[in-house]
Parts: sequence; structure tokens; C-alpha cells
Amino acid sequence: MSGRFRKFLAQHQKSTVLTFFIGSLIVLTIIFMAVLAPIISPYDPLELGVRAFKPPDEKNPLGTDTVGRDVLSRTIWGSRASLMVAFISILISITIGSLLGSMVGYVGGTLDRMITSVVDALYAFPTYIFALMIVVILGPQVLNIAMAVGVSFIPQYYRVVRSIVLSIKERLFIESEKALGASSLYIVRQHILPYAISSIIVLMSMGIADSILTVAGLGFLGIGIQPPTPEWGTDMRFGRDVFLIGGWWVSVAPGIMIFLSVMGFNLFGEGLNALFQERGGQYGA
Amino acid sequence: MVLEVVGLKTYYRTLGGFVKAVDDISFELPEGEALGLVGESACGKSTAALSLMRLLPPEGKIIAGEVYLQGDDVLRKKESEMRQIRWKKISMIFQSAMNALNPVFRIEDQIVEAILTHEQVSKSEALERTKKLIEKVGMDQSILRSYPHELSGGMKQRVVIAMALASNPKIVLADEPTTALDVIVQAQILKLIKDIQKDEHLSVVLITHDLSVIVQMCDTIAVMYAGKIVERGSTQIIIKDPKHPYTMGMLSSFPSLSRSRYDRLTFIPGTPPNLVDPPSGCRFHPRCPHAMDVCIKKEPKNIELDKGHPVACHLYI
Amino acid sequence: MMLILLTLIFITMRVIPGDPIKAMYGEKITEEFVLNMRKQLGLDKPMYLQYVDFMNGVFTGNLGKSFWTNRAVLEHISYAFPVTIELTIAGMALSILIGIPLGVVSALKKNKVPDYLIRVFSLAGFSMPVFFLGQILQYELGVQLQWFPIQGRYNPSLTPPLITHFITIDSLLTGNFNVFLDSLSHLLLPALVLASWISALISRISRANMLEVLNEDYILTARAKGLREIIVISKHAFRNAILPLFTIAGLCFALLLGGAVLTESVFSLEGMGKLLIDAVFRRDYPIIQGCVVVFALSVVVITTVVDIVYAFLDPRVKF
Repeated sequence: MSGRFRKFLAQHQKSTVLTFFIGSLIVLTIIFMAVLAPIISPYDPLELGVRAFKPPDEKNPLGTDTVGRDVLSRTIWGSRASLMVAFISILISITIGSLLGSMVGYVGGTLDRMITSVVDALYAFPTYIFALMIVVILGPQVLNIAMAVGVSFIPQYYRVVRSIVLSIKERLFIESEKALGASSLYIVRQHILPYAISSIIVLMSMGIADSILTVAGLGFLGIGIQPPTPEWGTDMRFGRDVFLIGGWWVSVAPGIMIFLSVMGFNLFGEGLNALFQERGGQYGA
Repeated sequence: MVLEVVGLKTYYRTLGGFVKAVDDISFELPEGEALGLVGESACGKSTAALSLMRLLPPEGKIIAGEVYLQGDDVLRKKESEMRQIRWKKISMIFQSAMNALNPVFRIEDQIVEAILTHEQVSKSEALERTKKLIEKVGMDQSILRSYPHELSGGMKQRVVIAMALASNPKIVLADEPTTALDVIVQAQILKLIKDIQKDEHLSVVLITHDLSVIVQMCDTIAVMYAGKIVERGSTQIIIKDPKHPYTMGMLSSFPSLSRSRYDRLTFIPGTPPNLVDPPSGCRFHPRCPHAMDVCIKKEPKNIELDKGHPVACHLYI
Repeated sequence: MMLILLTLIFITMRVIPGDPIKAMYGEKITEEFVLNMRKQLGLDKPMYLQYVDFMNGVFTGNLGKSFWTNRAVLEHISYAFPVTIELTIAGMALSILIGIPLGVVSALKKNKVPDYLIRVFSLAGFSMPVFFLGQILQYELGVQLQWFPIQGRYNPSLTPPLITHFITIDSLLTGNFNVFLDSLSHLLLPALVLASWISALISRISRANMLEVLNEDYILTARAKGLREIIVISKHAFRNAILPLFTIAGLCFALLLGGAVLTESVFSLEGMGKLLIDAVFRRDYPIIQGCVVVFALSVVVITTVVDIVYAFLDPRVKF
């Protein structure tokens, strides 16, 4: 077992392994935080308290916000909101994007041109504004936000899947591969599928990072997940008013969490990408 | 001797270990002659050329040896001195000239740059010389204002040759100058190089894996295998009577118009060796039909069979 | 492409569950009032007519009237848009100034300490929420150290001239250097915040491009010619590495606009972002629509302009 691990280490640069390792660590921590929130959170995040707007001390390690809720608990619970929306939105993006991409890639022709131009238009649009629009219209419920973010990320998955399907189509038509008969399909599966899967996984982690950021942004503007549900961005909105007069703890905790989680997922994706690339030609991303 | 290489060793550092690309090679080039460096892909030929000009990438290091350019050991020189030697004394024509030209600059700018780097002449004078160079390689002056992507492969190769001659070097290294071209253009380019070599009394090191090119162009051949030179000598002698098993194998695996059509093409079995961990003793022994016990254990030293014809093989020791 | 975008916008705006009138005036209004308002606002016409009106409006510059202030949407935008554009351009400029050198250095010192540091910083800059960094800078540099103003576009005691609505340009045109410098100082923090975000992207791509270029044969040729390393890098490598950046200019602009919305909120800048958000809370649909249209339009325009400039600079590209 350790021999395989040693071989793994030898194949890759130290920096890559480090990146991936730290990224995974952070990602796992956040996931645990979200899952175990009810257990590890010291207080009920929705419970209003008497001790309002207190800086960090023994009772509330991260202080309380303006209505007396414990910041630490809210921050821990906030991971649930962010992750949930992130996962749902990624699911939407990938499913629709992949389905659309593969269908269009397979059929080709005018359908391809039509849909691709629509998707390109969407891609050029600031995703932020688009998500904003959808939330405005449909209302700031969790599902809508997830949908909005999900839809705005569709173009990326669409493109990747479409290019993969196109390359498969191309290879199936190469005479020499045809001459090999059924094995050409096998070859395609061996080479292209791993590449496809690795690209999508990497895109996914970057997408989660992106959506966490977007959701927090919407929350900060007031059109994200509504109070009293704890969400990092929304919490920062309320912390904003007191920030400049010295009430830093209300904003800093959720802010750092956003930063860490986004950074974590990005590192994870980066590390994964580098790992796949350094495999050298096998899965070349 | 305008060029003398003694015991050159160049290794690359990689994640998997040291790649011994050039492992103790020696050869010499008399003035005005053409030496052909021939061998399979990845046998170290290009590395040798880059080493001569000290243009190795950061992972490459010249471990040992001397390279005497007109009597001066260039391996001992400082980088600033090297820069004056490069192109002025020795220039290079790279593989696939397509990419040797910078796509965002015009042809004339690139050649003028080569001239102005080494000589204090006016821009207009450099331009005049550039025009003459272009004519010498058989092209019209009109292409000077073009960009590289507007020219065909053959034309680009001619430009690269013109550029290599811009500072009137004594030695030109040509690394697979015709590999990417079609056969007719290939013939033209080779003839061009040969003519220029004769006119300017140039010394050329021609690197290729194509024996037919060597036969046409070179006075002497050095055969490289796995980072070592296994046989060296005048082209005529080696072609008629190769001594090293590798040379023999290579020659007989080449289709020849003069051979009987019933002669089977032979090939050398096996695959090129791993240069990180090359075979022990004589590097060719895993694929050699004449391999003996001593070949696995000891590395063969060079033996001069006739004057100026060293061979590294236990068959002759 | 514009048409598709506009149509998309129209469709999304019309898929409104819930009545804008009721949202504005509350539930306790008579049916008659509602019908009246709908007629006034043109909401009673059949869909396709509304669509025609809308498209017509966009091309003639008539984007309707705000539900809230009853003034032309275009008028609101004409005040807000320049602010956002100034911010975006400032942000872009800083991003380039920071991002490209970082990327180039990172490539030149590949896999050495500076490279790692820069890459980590880049990733951190990209992961940091704009509004968080904005607030931190606001507090540290604005309140604590008092180096920069923390909000608004200009000092209220100074009245900037109003010609093009671009404060920077207007103040230069009228030779009013006080106002000019003041406006720049107000721009700096928000632009810096935006830049920290985008420069990460730019530095990453510059690095990748530079590495690719440095591997090319023409760089080896340049070195073989005996040129000094500095010339090889700045003359031969740099130009080739920078050109592909233009292709992501459109993407950067789109990201900047999104970030601008947030930054304006943090720094209380009266730009499109603020206009949009306020309109969102007031259900002021014409403004929302107008803003989105202008956003989309600007992205398309910028992308086209960039494409043209790129065609100029790269000899391989023909019009």
C-alpha cells in the first residue's frame, strides 16, 4: 500500500500534492461542518438573546450579532445553506448542460448552431446579473437561488460536453479507427471518457466555489437567502452597518468562512487538475 | 579544425532521474567540411547541437567535456561572451522552421535584428545585406515585408537559412532542416545548403535521421546511439563498409533504388533504450545480433580501425 | 447575438408571477385602479405587441419610464452608467497593471518561490468575496488610517461639472484638477477591490501564455542569435504572450460588471449596481429591465471593440 503511495508521490510535483491535500482538507472540513452543524454548534443560531452585540468572550467565542444571536453558531450553520445551494445548482448546471451539450453535439447541424449561439450569448452575460434577475423575478427562496445560480453556470458544462461529444464523433469517423471495427468504440471510451470525467470533476469543484461566492453576494445585497436563516452573505449584510464603527466580529467570521471555503474548493479543483495533467498523456486535460 | 568536441556529457534533470542524453561524445570538424550526425530519434543529437551553443533549457546541464571553437573552449566562457559568439561564429537552423520565426514580426526585421546584434552598422546597410541574403537563398525581395504565416514551409526554411547566414558565421548547425518538407522542396533546400556551403566555405554539422540526406551532403559521418558516438569516419567508407553493428543495421534498413527488389528490408529489433537507466556495458547489446558476454559487462572503447575511423565495439577490440 | 440576449431578457422579465402593480401599491386597491394602471404602463397589450414595443424602445433609446419616479429610465441610467463605467475601467486598468507583471514574473520563475507565492496570492484574491475585502479596506485604509475616502463618488463640498456625466472626463475638460484628483481618490479603493479579484484571473492566464510562448522555437532562435535575455523576453516573448489575453477581455468585463454591483453597494457609489438593487426592492421593473439591457449591450459592445483592436494587433488575423 505504501509502495503505491510512494509511486503516486514520485509521479507528481510536491506543490501539486500539497495543493490537492490542503484543498481536500478544507473541503472535507466544510462538509463535516455542514453535516454536523446541529451537534457542534454551541447555540441555536436562530435564538435571539439578551446579550446583543457583544464582542467575542467565553460565552460566545465569536461574539453575538445585533439581535443577540451567537455568531459562531450562525457561522457553522451557514455552511449548510451555502453547500446546499451550491450542490443543487451544480446538479442543475451539469445535468442540463451535459444533456444539452451531448444532444447538440450528436445531432449537430442547425440545431447546434442555434443553441450554441444562445448559450454563447448567455455566457457573455455577467452571470451575476443573470442570477440576480432570476431571483428578483421568482423570489428569494432557496430553490430559486439554486436554480438561478445553476442556470447561469450551464454554458460551461454545455461547452465541455459538447466538445467531447464532437471529438468522439470525429474519431468514430476516422477511417483507420473504423477499420478496427468495434474496438474503436472501446478505444474512445478508454481515452475520452477519463478525460471527460476529469474535466467535469474539476469544473464541478470550481463551480461550487463560484456558486458559494455568488450566493453570498446575493445574500449581501439582500436578495439572497432571507433571514433568519443563517447564511454567510446575508449575515454580512447585517454586520455591515456596524462594521465601520468597530463591530468587526459580526462580519469577519462569515467573511473568512466564505473566503476559506471558496479557496478550499478552488485549491481542490486546481490540485485535481494538475494531478490529472501530470499523469502525462494518459488523461491529459 | 574549426570545431573540436572532446568528451561532452550533457544530462537533463527530470522528476524520474537524470536523462543521460549526451554521454561522452567526441568528434571534430575540419574547416569547410560537412559532418553528418545521424541516429534514431531521441538519441541525443539535438541535445549535442544545443550544447555546442549552450542553449540548453534549465533542466539541461553540461556535466563534462570541452568544445573548442577555432581553438577556444566555449564551455569555459561567461554568458556575456557566449552571446557574442552565438550567431557570429556559430549559428543554427532548427527543426521545423515554421516555428523558428516570430509570428508578430516581419521577415526583414528578424534578419536585420540578427545583423545588428553583432555589428555596428546602420539600419539601411543591414537592410541591404538582408536583401542580398534573401536573393542568395533564391527568393524575391518582396517577401521581406511579409509576416511568417504568409509564407509556405519551403519559403520559411529558406528565410531561416538566410537568417542563419546573416552574421557570416563559420559554423552552421542544421538540425533536421528538411524533415517537415515534402520531397521536392527537400531536394531544393539541400541543394541550396550545399551550394552555400561551397561558396562561403562554411563548416556544417548536419543532424538528421535520414541517411539519404547524409550521403548527399556530408563528407564525414558520426553515428550516434543512446547518447554515444559508436562509429565515425568519412561518408564513403562508412557507407560502403560499416563496422559497427548498429551502423550496419541502419544502412540495411534503408530502402535503396539500387538494391534488388528481392532484397528484404531488415530492421533492428527492440526499442530505443531508456536514457535514464541505459543498458550496462555496450548500450546496443540488447539489440545487437553479435552481442557477446563482454558486451553486457564492459563499455567498448573507441578503436581506430583506419585513420580517422574510430569504432566503439567489442568485435574489434 | 444581441437579439438573442434582448429576447431572453424580455422573456425572463415577462415570466413574472405576481402583479407589479399590486407589488407597488399594495393589495388594497380596486380592480379598476389596477386596470387603469396596466393600461397606462402598457401592460394590457398582447405579448407580441409588448415585445415589439420593447425592441423598438431599445433601438430608439426609449426604455420606458420608471414606475417609481416616472422619469425616463434612460435618464436614470445616464447618471448611473458613467459611474459604473469609470469604476469598471479603473478596475480593469489596475487588474492589468497588477495581473500581467505578476503573471510574467510567475512564468519566468516557474516552480520557484516567487511563482508559488504569486499563484497562492492570485487564488486568494480570486476566492475573496469582493464585499468582504471592500469592507476591510474601507475600515483599515479609510477609517483607521484615513488615507482614502470611504464612500461616494466625490466630496459633497465640491460640485463637479456635468457635461458627459463622467466625472473624471468632465473635470479634465474644465481644467478642474481638484475635482479630478478627488474623483480619482474616491475611485481607488473600489477599483483596487475589483482589481484584486480580476487580476488573479489575468495573472493566471498571462502565466500560462508566457510559459507556452517561452517554449516556442522562435524564442530559442532569439537566444541563439545572441540577444540579451531581457530583449528576448520583453520583445519576442511578451508580445506573443499578451495577445491571447484579448480573447478573455469580454469575460473579464462581464465579471467586472458583476463585481461592480457589489462594490458599489459597499462603497455607496451611485452607479448601475445601486440603481439596479434599489429598483429590485421597489419592484421597479422598467428600471430593472433597462439596467439589464444596458449591461448586456455594454458587454457586447466591449467584446466587439476588443475583437477589432485585437485584429489590428495580431498580424495573423484579418478583418
